[in-house]
Amino acid sequence: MLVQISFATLAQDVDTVKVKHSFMPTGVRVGTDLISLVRSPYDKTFNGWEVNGDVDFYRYYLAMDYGYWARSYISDSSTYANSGRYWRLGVDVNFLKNDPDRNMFFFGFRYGASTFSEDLSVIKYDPIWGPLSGNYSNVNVKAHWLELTTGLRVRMWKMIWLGYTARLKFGLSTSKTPDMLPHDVPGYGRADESSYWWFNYQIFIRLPVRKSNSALPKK
Amino acid sequence: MKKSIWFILFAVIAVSCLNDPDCYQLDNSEIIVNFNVLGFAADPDTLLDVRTSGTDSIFYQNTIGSSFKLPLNPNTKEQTYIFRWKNGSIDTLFLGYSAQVQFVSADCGERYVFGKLFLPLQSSFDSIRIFNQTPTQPASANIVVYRCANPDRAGVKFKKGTTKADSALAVSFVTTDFGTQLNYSDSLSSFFLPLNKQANTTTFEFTLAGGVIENLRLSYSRVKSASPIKDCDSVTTFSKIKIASTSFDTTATKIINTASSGAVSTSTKDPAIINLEIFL
Repeated sequence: MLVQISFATLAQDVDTVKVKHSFMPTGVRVGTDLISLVRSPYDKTFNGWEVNGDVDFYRYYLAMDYGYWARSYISDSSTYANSGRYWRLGVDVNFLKNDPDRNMFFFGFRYGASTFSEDLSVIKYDPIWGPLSGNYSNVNVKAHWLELTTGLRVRMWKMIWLGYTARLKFGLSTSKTPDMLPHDVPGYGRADESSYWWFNYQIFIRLPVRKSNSALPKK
Repeated sequence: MKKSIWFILFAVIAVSCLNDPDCYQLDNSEIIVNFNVLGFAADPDTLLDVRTSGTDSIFYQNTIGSSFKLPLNPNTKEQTYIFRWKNGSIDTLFLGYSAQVQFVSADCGERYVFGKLFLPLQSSFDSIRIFNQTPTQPASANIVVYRCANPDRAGVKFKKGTTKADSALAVSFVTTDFGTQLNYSDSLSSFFLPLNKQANTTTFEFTLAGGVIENLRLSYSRVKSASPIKDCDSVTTFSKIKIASTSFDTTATKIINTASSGAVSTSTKDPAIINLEIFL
């Protein structure tokens, strides 16, 4: 479906003249995740932000993300809170090679890492064991994982790009936590899921640093 | 505008795909202990009860079975289980494990995750091993207990002479002439009576609920042989069991032959089987 939509919205008539492509970067794109920004003021269980950036090397983009998120939940028998920072580093490959607006339909991968802390308080009564109460903390837990990514970047107006990134996260590994298993890893999500879908809806500003040597078709 | 619609559509689809956890069966807080006779199959025996540290709860009162599901305590990382059997013996199982709490969701609350089962101390069983270190949900076999075969009990069933139906006796206790006493709390028609390995006869004294005492004397042949299991002692098998004398008002007695299994039940087995029927 992604392929169909991407080509339906972005398809261009491209010239088939063979040109020599330059792998020198032509610009830096810096953006942020709009879902986190919009969600933080309204969702009492979430507070976070994420900064995204990429640099082009012809059709290959070095992509970096840095973010923070904190969650807090209250259940009938417990309260939970966590907070932490995370980063991701990886490469996206643009399959719209000669788009004059530098639009992207891409696939890529990321390596993600997070450092976070979390607290849990439990007050409950078990019919066999009686009171099960306790305060549990995991401090400075290290976590890392991998992601497969796909998405779009579309030039909306002059230097402004909008895009989304769908992420299939997997291979989560955390440092040892003897008394409490992590619930939520900032940047990854629920720690009890072996794989996890996530979605960023992003806005970017592209800062050109040089003109491309590659011949892009005119609009 | 057209591009914006696509982006909004994707955002809606993505948010709807974020899954919530299922609150059903979150804990893996139960283990299953299976009992077997070494070299034989499952070992169905009658439990008086199972007690464990950290709770006043009593499990499996007067229960016949060879497989028992037991709870793990999230407050500790070691647990002692005491099995009291109907035949008077008591077994103790010492179990260690890891216990971790994990928050699941605002709807589900927290769960306890158990794992790394181990045996920190020598248990009283002849042989015990961890079959699966991680408790599962739903519970499956984690610990297998073996005991050496000890075919030293003769099974006696009382029946009504007229209707051939089972005849339950309200027996308080049974004593043997070699110093063993078996206590009973219910009326039973079947009794599994220990035979004397040092003599060719054993006399049983049945003390009934009203204080009436009846006697039963069984005679038999004995064969002592080395156990095929190297960790077990020698095995004494009793055969040609018959009633030598009795004070019960019997109309007939019958030696059972289980021809369907190819085994003649005048010999004792482990787990014990019915060897004699006494018609009152």
